[in-house]
Formats: sequence, structure tokens, C-alpha cells
Amino acid sequence: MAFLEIKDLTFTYAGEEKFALRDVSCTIGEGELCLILSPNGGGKTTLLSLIHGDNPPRGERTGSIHSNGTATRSALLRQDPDLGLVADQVWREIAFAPENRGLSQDEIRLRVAEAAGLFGLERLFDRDVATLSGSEKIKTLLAAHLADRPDMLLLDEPAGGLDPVAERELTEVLDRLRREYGVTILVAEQYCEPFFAAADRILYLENGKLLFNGTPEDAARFLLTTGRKGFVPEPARLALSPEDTKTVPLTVQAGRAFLADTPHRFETLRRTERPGETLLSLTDISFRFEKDAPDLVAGMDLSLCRGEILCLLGKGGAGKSTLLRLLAGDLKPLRGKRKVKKDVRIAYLPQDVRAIFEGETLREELTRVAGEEKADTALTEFGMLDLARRHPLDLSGGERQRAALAKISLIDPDAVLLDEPTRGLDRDSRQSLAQLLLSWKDAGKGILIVTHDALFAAGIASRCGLLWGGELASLRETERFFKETRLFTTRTARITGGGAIVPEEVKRL
Amino acid sequence: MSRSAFGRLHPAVSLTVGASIVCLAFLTRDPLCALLLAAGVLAFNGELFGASFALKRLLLFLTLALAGGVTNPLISHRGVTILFYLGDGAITAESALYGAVSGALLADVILWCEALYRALPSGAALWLTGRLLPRTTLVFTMAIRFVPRLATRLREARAAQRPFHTQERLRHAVVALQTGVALTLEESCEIAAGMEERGYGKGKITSYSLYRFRGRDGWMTGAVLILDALALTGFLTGALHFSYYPGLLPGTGSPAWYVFPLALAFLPAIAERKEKMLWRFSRSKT
Repeated sequence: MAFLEIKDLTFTYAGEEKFALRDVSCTIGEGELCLILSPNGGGKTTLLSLIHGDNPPRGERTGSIHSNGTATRSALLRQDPDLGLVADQVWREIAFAPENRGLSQDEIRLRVAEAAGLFGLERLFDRDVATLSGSEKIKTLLAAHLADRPDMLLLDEPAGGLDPVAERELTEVLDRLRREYGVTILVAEQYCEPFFAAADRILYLENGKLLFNGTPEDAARFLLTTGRKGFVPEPARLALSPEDTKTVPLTVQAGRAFLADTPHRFETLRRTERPGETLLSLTDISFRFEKDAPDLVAGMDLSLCRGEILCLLGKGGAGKSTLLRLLAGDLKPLRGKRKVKKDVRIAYLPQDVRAIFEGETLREELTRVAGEEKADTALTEFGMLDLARRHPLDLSGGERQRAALAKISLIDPDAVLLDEPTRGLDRDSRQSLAQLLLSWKDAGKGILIVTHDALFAAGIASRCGLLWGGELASLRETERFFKETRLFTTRTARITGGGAIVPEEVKRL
Repeated sequence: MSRSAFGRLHPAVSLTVGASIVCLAFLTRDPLCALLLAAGVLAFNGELFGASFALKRLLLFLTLALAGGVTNPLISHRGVTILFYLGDGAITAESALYGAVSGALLADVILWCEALYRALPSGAALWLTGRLLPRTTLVFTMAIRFVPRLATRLREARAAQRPFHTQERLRHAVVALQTGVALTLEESCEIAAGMEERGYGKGKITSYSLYRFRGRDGWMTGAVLILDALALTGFLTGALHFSYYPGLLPGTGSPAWYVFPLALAFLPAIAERKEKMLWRFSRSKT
């Protein structure tokens, strides 16, 4: 039965000429988990806010959105969970919506107990929301929205800042909501891995047009055969040629079965690495934020050399960002020594790259650093000439990242420290980021990245480390790292039992 | 949840007791009352955090009382019992005692506020304001969160922009401030939109609290209010009055009146003790 019916929906933002959405039509059933895939700027956020209906974006809209009955209540979770949280404590957060509806104490008590129980938030009930980890924040926010008892949940890139473990948890929670409570769920993502196999339906949007609407397996087939493999889960990418797409493996398990039936060989893509002199090193560094808290970084030894890309992986809250800030000199260590080679310039890019911008336009931003001539060269090099007159804060996620990297390139740093650079980037942007970083590495820069994105790290890193309990649980060459770890490794490595670490290394015989 | 049994009482009870005690410390000038209040808070601290914690508080109490006792007679020479002369000024026993009691009462107020702050959960005060002014309370708690948010953004901007302003430190600070404020304000708009989506501003709102007002809370509040009334009567009738000048003059009533401030001051400590006993007895029964 159709729960949501969208017919010929077209939308143009006020003051713009390009369509944000064009002739989108689809039907979504009750209790479905629907994944909306699209590249950056493809129209998924616009679609979600139009479906939601409260605070609709300003612009011109034609076509219709019908939902089953008039009582449908939808909840929209925006991209950054930090901006969704409004209260100080977890229970207050959950009670917020029912309070606003003017419900009685008794009714609110029931709603709060229900929502907190569903997500196992009892342990966090009294915690200050500012101290929660990324996945705890998302769960709190989900509970807070569910306390309002919506029939439909709309999530905009919920897996953005989550580590693999938290990602799986979120997928399971959403799956339960749909199965047991009949909540219809629409998830917009550009990074699809965790939701792809679990979804009932996948929509693919590009430039505002709905190009595909169907089951996950058909979606994988469509995306693979039309050259959009960046949106397909890793296991499916092992199905290398269009003839292979009769069966498309979506999970690690299916991937193993697929490879067992397919003659193949592994081909290592790794170049030999010759790192240069040490640029920056930490010796026996310890750090904590509060007097009585345990050490967040405990006895860490780490060095970054010229001509290498060093990737650090680890669970959320493992102290990855803190370590980066210690390296950048933004935090002073409690114990231990930080050594920087003489005249080494360090550039540091926080997770939210907007922090680096200070100009009114992108051109001004770059001109301030290195003069007009160099700014223009950089704009051309990074393919941003047409954006030169935009305000840096008005750029989209991928553009912002590129602009920040362009700005960094102007001071020609020796060491570059990046915090979760792939967050919120679509596969194309990831690709160009990877290429840029590799070229910087070849030019002799040392690059250190903290990330959750194993596939990205496997593709570019020279060395990889796993952060656990405040120290490096392992630090190895990329190849060995992904073959030997099991939790923080790529799906390809899991499927091939360590034979290959990225899908491109599996060749068909 | 607060680990204090007193703190787990309904805020209506714990706040009434707390407010009564602090008011008492402000109203009274009586040395015995000052001692009772101190004994109460020390017992409360002892129950909650152990003897050594309470001893440190006792030290503070004695220091303040001593400081008052020494300094006041140097400034005020009123009183009839002259102990000795310092220069031209007479040092009187009345003035010394008055100073000591004032110091002690000041210590009482400080210690009680500290103990209540530690024992009561952070939500207790918000419960009270949330009852009276739900909207204002919400705005207040949100405003408090705005400050650390801004601080984080400022710090990030400073760290990210540092390599671009190696020479101009002042400019660096100003520019980072600009970026930090711009980002925080932009975020505020998004937060506001999110609040509206969750129904904020669409009508009458209620304030939920984790506390449930039970019968026990009702009669405890009643008991505290009766104690308050009796203590106040003690002051008004002069039974608990103490005047220092010209000569020391204690209250005229029966000493039985001191039972009421005593009961108030020891209520929190008794609540803690009772909870511990309750646990022990219920265990021994099984």
C-alpha cells in the first residue's frame, strides 16, 4: 500500500536557475526502508525537506507529495547531530518534543521511558549531551524524535561521522524500527555501505533527476553498468564486468560465495614506499582533558616523515582528533615531547573545514594568502574558477573541502594534518581528494589523516595505525595492516581473507 | 542520579529545607543557632563524603569564626565588658563575640550552599524554574550551551588559521573571532529550525520532570513548613533573639525553642543516615 506518493515534483531554489529537483515521481510503501543515493548536490537534502514539509526551502515548486492520510507526522534528522540537540541532558532532550506538544506529565513519562528503552539509553539518561560520542548523539536524537511518535523518519546522512561499529548499530536500530513499529524510513546518503543491503528500495538521484528506483540488487546492477561504481558497496564491485551482474553480492558473505565461483587472481597495486626524513614526532606523549579523567592519549610514540601518507583508524572517541591537535601544537601534552624539524610548516584541517575560512569570497580568501596571481593559478588547478565569487561558507561540502585544500596548498606546507577528510564527500570527491593527496606525497609532503574510512585509507596510505586505549595498538605498512586487522579493515580484505585489500586488486581470470 | 538520599527527595522538599536553613542563617544572630547550623552541615557532609571531608569544612568554619572574632573588636569598640586597650581603642568581649558569630554564620551560609550544591542534582533548581517559567528556563539552559559551542569554534578557527598568520598575531585573533562567531550564529539558525520541527513555539508547552510528587513528599514539605513557622515564632517572640550591645542579652524564652532550628539543621543528615539504616535493615531481614 502506498504510504507516500510523489508526483512530478520539480523544485527550483529562489534566486537560482538550475533545477534542484526535476520531475521526480515515486511511491514508497508503509514500513519501507528507502535509501536515497546521490552525489553531492544531487538533490537528496532538498527532497527530504520537501517531504518533511515544516520549514520548506524557499523557491518554486510544482508537482505533488501525498502521504497516507492527514495525520502523518514525519521527523527530519539533519546532517550534523550536534545541531539537532537542544537540551542539556539526555532525558531532557527526549522530553523536549512531548513538552512542546503540551502533553501531561504522565504521558511524557511514558513517551520518555519508551523511547529511551528502545535505544538502550538508560545508562546515559543523566549524561550531559555535550559529552556523548557521535553514535550516542545520533541514538539520543533518534529517541528524541521518536518520542514525538512519527510515522516517518527522514535521515540526512546519518552515518557521516560514525565508525564501522556504530554504523552497524545504527543500521540495526533502523531495521528494528521499520520491522517492529512499522515506521517508514528514508535515508539520504552518498556513502552507502551500511544501508545498501538492508534497504527495501533504492532511489538514485543525479542533478535533481530520479535515474533509478528499485531493489538493492537491481540498483547495484544499474550503478555498475552505468559507470557509477563509487555508489555500490565494496562486495558488489567485485562483480567486475556487466556479464557478471547476474548475481550481485551485496554483503561480505555473498561476496565470498561469489568469489568461490569466479576464477580470479590478486594483483597488488602497491608501489614501493621510500619515506624521507622525519618532519614531526611525538615521544611518550600523554594527555587528558580533565584532572581526574583517565588519559585519552597515553604514552604515544608517533612520527611523520616526508613523502608518506599515514592513516590512523579507530573507534569514535578513541582520541583520534585529540592526537591530531597534539601534533598540530593546538594542545600541550601533559607528559612527553613533541619535536618539529626546523622550518617545517604544518597545516591542520579540522573536521569542520569551515574554520579555516576568513574571506568574503573564495578569490579574496586565496588572494589574502599568496597574492592575486597565485590565487588564480590555484583556482584553476583546483577547478574552482566558476566559484571564485562565492562566499566560502555558502559552498557545498565537497567544494568547501577543495577550497580549504587549495588554501593550504598556497603556503606549501611540509606536513599536512587532516581530520576525517572524507566525511560528507561523495565518491567522486573522494577520488579527487585521493589523487591530490597522492600528488602531495610524491612532492615530498608528509600527510597524516585520521579517519573511519578503511577503504579510503587502504587506497592511499603508506602506513596505517590503529588507535586503541590511548596508544597505537598497531602501526604497519598498509598492506600488512589491512591483512592482519579484522575489525577496521576493508570488506574486500574480509572477503578475500587478506588476499586483496581494495576491490581493484581482484582481477578476473 | 544524585548519590545523596536527601538529593533524591522531591525538589519541593529538598529545596524547601535548603532555603529554610539558609534563610535561618541570614536571620539569626544567636551563637547557639550558629553552632547548630554548623553541626548540621558537618554531619551532612560527614554522611555524604566521609569524616575527613567534614573535618576540612570544620576548619573553614573555625577560621572564619576566628577571623570575625579578631577583626570586629579592632573596628567596633561598642560593648561594656572591656578586656584590654589596644592603643586608644577598647577591645570588648561583646564586640569579639559578635564578630565571631557573624563569621560563623557566614561560614554556615557558605557551607550549606556548597553541601546543597553537591547533594542536589543539577535538575532540582531547573525543576523549580521550569514549573514557574518553562520557556525562560529552556532559553536559559540553551544560552548556557551556547558559550562552550562558541569557545570550541573559536579554538578550531585559531588552530586552522595559525599557519596563515605567522607574523600578525593580533590580526590572527581578530579574524579567528570573526570566523568563530559567524559559524556559531549560522549553527544557531539551524538549531532553531530543528527545534521548530520538534514542535517548539507552536503553542503552550509543559515542563517535564523526572520527579513525581508522592504522599511522602507532601507530608515532609508540610513538616518542614511547620518547623519553619515555629522557628520564626521563636524569633518574633524573642525566645531565639540574642542581643550583644550594650551587654550580652540572651533570649527570654525556654531553651526548648532551640529544638526547631536543631531539627531543621539536622534533617538532611538524618535523611542520609535513615537511608543507610533502611538498607541495612532490609538486608538483614532477607
